[in-house]
Amino acid sequence: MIQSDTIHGIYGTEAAAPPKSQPMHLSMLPCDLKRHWGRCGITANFLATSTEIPSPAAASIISTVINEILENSVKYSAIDTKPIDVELSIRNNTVECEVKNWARLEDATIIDSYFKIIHDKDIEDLYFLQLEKTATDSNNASQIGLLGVMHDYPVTLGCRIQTTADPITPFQISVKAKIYLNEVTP
Amino acid sequence: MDNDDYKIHFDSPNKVIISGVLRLQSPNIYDDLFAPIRDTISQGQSMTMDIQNVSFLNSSGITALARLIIVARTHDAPFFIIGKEEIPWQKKSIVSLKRLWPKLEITLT
Repeated sequence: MIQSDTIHGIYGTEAAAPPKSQPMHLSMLPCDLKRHWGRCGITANFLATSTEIPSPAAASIISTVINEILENSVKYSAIDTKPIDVELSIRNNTVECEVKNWARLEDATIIDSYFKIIHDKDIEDLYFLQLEKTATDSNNASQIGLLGVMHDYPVTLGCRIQTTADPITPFQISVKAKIYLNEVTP
Repeated sequence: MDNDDYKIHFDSPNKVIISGVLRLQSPNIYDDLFAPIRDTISQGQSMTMDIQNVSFLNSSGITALARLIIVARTHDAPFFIIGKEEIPWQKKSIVSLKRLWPKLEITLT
C-alpha cells in the first residue's frame, strides 16, 4: 500500500541552495517519446549542453543520467497523453534533474519497491545481481537504468510518489537525480 | 547495419566496429542487432568489439552487452572490447562489466 505522499532518497533531505540560474522546464507527451524514442536522447543532450557545464565529460554524464531517468518515466507512464515534465537546475557544484510522470497503481508500486531496495542494499552487489539476472533471461526490461546511474556516476537519486484525484492515473511519480560536478573526472 | 544514429560494420567475422549513439528502446531490440555477434561467440569463436566511437549506450544496451558476455562466458569464447578512456560511459560502465566474467579483455585507448 502506497502512502499519499511517499518519499525515498534525496527528497526531503536536500539543502535549499538557490539555483544559479532559472531552472529549465520541458513538457513532453509519452506517446511522442514512445513513437520517436530518440527524442529521449535528444532531450537529454539538449538539456546537458544548454547549461553552464564545466567540461564535455560532465555534459556527457549529465546527458546519460537525464536520458536514463527520462526513459524510465516513459516506460512507467500510464496514459500517453498525460505529460512528462522535466526540470533542470544548476546549484552549487550540483546539477539537479527532476522528471515527473502520471502512473497507475501497478507502476507506482513497482517504482516504490525499486527505490526501497536500492536505498536499503549495497549498490555494488545489487547492480551486478540485477545485471546477471537480466542478462540471463529474455526480459525486455533491463531494470538497471537507475541502478547503473547510481553505480557508475557521482549521483544520488530520490523518488516521490503522490496521490492524485484522477481515477485513471491516481499517482504522480517524481524521480530526481543530483549530480555532483566536483566529483566528475575530466 | 546502419542507421542515422549508429553504424555496425563487420571488419571480419570475428571483429565488429560500432560507432555513433545507441539509445534503443529495449534490450531485445539490441539482441536483434547483435545477433551475428552472438552467433559467432555461441560457436566458441573469438570476437572483438571496437566501440571506441560509441558516444552513448543506454542501460538497455549495457544489458545487451552483458548478455553477449554471458554467452561468451558460457562457451569460453575469447571476447575483446576496445573502448576509449575519454568517453565517460565507457570508462565507467564497460570496465565494471569484467566482474561478469574475469576473462573478458577490455582495452581502453
